[in-house]
Amino acid sequence: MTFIEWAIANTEGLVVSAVIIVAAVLVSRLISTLIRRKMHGSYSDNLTKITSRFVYYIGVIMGLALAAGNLGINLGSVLVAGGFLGIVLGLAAQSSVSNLIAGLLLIIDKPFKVGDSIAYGDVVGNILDINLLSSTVVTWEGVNVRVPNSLLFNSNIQNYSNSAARMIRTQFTIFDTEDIDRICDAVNKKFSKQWYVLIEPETATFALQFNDYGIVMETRAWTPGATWLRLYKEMPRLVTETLRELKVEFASPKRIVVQEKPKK
Amino acid sequence: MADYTITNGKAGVPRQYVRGGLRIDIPESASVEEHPIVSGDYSVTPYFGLVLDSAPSVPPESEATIYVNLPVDTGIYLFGKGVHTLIDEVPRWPLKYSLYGTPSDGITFRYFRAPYHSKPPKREKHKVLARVRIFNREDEWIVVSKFLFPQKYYNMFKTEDGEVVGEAVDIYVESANLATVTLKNKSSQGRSSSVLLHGPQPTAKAMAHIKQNLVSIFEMRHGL
Repeated sequence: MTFIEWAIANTEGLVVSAVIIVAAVLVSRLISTLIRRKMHGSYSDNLTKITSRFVYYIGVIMGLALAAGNLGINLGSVLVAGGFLGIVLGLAAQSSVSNLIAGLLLIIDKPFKVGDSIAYGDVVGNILDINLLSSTVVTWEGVNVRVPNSLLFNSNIQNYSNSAARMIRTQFTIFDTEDIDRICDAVNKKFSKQWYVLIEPETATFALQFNDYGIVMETRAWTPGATWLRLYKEMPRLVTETLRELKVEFASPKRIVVQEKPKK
Repeated sequence: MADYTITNGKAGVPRQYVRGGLRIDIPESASVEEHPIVSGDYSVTPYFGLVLDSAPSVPPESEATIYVNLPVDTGIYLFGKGVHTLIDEVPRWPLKYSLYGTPSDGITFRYFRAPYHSKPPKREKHKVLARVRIFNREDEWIVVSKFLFPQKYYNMFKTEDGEVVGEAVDIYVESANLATVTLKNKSSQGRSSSVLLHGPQPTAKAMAHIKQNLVSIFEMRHGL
């Protein structure tokens, strides 16, 4: 039987298969466009393009498989060959596949987006790029760190950009002869005058514990998410200024050296 | 003392608006005008909040009208060919911020504290009148101690007398912890002759910092 004879005999099946393919292409294109729109702005253009194309081709391949099945074409041998190839490739590229899946899951889960300040393990910085296999973090020292997506997905990530406000704390030690209440009031007042310190929640300063040479004090102040670095940098200066104004010394270990007169 | 200067233009050199390190060329056909504006540092927050010195109580299923003098800064606008553009904001009040809600789920807002009045109060310098109507839909008494809105959408109006007043605000209280703050796009003075002085126009640089999808209706879901 020639192809033309076969086609004439299966006209109805061919039409249905053609409809399936056209529908698969249209639906895939629609889904791909939706994904592109959803990801636009939050992820790199590269990742957006790759993901939308990946979804598009998966949809088209599924449509082709359905159309072939409709025409009675046996896909068994193709699937067996594909399955074998898949196992070989899977073993060879296990970590890449794991990163790829983690990349897709990061897109769905959205624990962070481009521009967010994050910390995981020892790496702290801003997300520069999110790609399918890896993401790039620019540390605050300006170093680009490429992080495999599987590592990011399985880590405890702290995203600093998601918080409306952040609490920053600092500790200092005073001698146990000092008036704790006076120092707490003065430090809290000093912090409340700074524009980048929130009125609510209020700044709190309190005696935390004793150490070998005095009382450890802690100050906790809240700042808008966007100004946390400013408060972080200013806290020691503000505490130092306040103690100087109060003429209070920081407690620190002191070594007393007694020089004995030489024996005659 | 003037906050800014406008240089005289020469042949081929346009006039310039100068404040500190900021220099902006003024086209020949344009004029520079000052108008009150609700503003703030958009890189910190796009929200403005007024905390009332004493909180008005509203009976169940009824409404109350209060008036507040809203602190405003000075917006510097370029006017020309029927178009106006905000080119600078001169701060009149110190910046202060507070948190509304929780750190993970809430927002920070530019903080002001002011008393409320049952009748329109006397105008104060660098403040505009704002009428706030509170609609209590709850079957219990409610107390409103603050209200917030996105400053980008707050308009100013000029009355027949040339006085600038703020936009009217409605607060619809659904429960003790939930209310909707709506900017009415109407003058707080309530006269139909009031004309819109200028729309909200944060500078393009400021707009780049706005991450949230802002609308003119703000849902207060962390308490009143």
